[in-house]
Amino acid sequence: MIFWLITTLIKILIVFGVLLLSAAYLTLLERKVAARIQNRLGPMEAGFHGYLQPIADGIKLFFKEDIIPADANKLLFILAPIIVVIPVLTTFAVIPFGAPIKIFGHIVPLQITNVNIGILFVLALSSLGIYGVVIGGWASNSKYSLLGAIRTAAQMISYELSLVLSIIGVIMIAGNLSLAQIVSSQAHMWFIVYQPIGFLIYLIASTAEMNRVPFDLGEAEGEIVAGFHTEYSSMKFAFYFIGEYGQIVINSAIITTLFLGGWEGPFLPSVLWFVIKVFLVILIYLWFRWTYPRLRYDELMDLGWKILLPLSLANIVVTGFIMILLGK
Amino acid sequence: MEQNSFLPILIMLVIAILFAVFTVVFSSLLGKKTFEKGKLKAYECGIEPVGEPHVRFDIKFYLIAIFFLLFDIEALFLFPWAVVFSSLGLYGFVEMFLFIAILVFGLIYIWKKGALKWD
Amino acid sequence: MEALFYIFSVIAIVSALMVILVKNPLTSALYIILCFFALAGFYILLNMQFLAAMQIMVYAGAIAVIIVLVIMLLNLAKIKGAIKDFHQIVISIIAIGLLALEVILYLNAAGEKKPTGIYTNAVINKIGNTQIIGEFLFTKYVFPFEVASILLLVAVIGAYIFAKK
Repeated sequence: MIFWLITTLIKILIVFGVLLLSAAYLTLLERKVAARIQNRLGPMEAGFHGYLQPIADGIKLFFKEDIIPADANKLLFILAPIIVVIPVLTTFAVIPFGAPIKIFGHIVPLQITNVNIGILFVLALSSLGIYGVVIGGWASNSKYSLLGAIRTAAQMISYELSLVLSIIGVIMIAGNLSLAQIVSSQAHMWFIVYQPIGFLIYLIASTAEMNRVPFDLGEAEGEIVAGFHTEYSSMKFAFYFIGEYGQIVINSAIITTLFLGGWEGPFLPSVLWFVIKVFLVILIYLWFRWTYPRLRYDELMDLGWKILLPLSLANIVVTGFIMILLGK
Repeated sequence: MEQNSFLPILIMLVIAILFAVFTVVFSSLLGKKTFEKGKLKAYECGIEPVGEPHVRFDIKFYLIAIFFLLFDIEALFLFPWAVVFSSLGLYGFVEMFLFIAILVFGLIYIWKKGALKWD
Repeated sequence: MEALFYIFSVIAIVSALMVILVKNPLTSALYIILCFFALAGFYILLNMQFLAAMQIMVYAGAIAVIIVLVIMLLNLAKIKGAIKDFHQIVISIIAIGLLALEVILYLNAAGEKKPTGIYTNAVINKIGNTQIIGEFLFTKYVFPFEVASILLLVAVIGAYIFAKK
């Protein structure tokens, strides 16, 4: 029991640290990738090739003046960014990031905890992401914030449907909701082979859930300044970014777990495989952002309701039909 | 016991809450403070805010929320089904096909009626 | 576990009270979400993980979203005074009476020894909570399940017609 508690606490602290650090360094990665795509160099001043930039940014934001608009609802204004980061920091609890290892004769699974409803836990927490945006936008008491919040809310709930439905195919094949079980049932073949459409829908819908370009209508800087976080400053502003980049890490980890075989892989250590796959999926998300132009609002809603939703339902029916035919 | 596997989640949740609250509190204590009336006004491209920030919104947003709720419940029904699908076989497939078909009918209805049209 | 039960109870009761005590409707919506979370905690203590997930996804993740959006869309910044509608008072008295009756009946039955089925906690943990719900829902209770889809269809059409008016 004590051994279990100590290893669990150590795992929690490591995951926590790595998640925060990678969210911070993703801002640098994003700027570097953007720079390369646009034939520039990106941040070069802070440290060697700008490698200390995220730390400089973090310190700067931490010591910035914290402005709360006079007309804002103070309690909700302060609460909103906190609501954004808490689900993001908690989701990683159920994601397996490596094969079980042996320490002092005990087998320690490299996953903080393996709950039997793992994937539902992830979806439940991601469905709460909307509140930080909506409450922040409403509490700011500013036109741009409110407009951004309403747009984002309608967008997030529209794409959440396809996001949830795109996972069903994977569960039909794995027959389990536990993420560790889903990884072990991909030991022979990755699920992306059986579920290519599910994978694509998850990729697109999760980009929309995170409000990233081409789906960033809630913070479209050309129209509504910065959308729901227009009035935010200092660490509260930073929390919206920790939320966004933390979500990129988490969504990449979920895609890796559900479709790309999780930590399974030959030769290299399992944790390294996990990190490599997650990194590649992150690069896809960044590549999206710097390649596509922003959608119009009607196009955005059409894509969610008229293309992705029917497609994800069809994907379930076709998957079921093929499984019946093959007698599985 | 299965309940125990949720204990680490609770620990993680508590750590996350503590981290978030402490960061916000300390950062706002440490940041420098200046008092100026104009700065505390809502941002509106540098001019005085005009009119009420709260405008009435299109009822479409409300409709989208209701449709989301109903289709979300449908999607959640699929989870226990997907888990036992391989043991249910053809019988389970027909059941779910009917269920999805009825709701697709609803989707087609609101689609044809133009409830999903934005302009 | 006992201690957790009491912690969740306190959170559930206090947040439920705050829902009706705070002035700002959006704060009150946040309290109701907190209350849903405490209820999900109960489900987990009762070994019903699937229901806990549904509690959060349906109530906190969908129904509360509608509540919050309606508050925002209608700009209900402040509730003005107490409700004076006679019908609402009658309906709430009936609801409270029914609830009190249920509590009394439950407390009376609490002392009795209930028969235990074959699905003990150990069996449920072995097969899996979601698996058992799936097996029953799609074999024995398949008719209510299909009726649920018609109910959802009616709700979809009804929501559209009401919005059009």
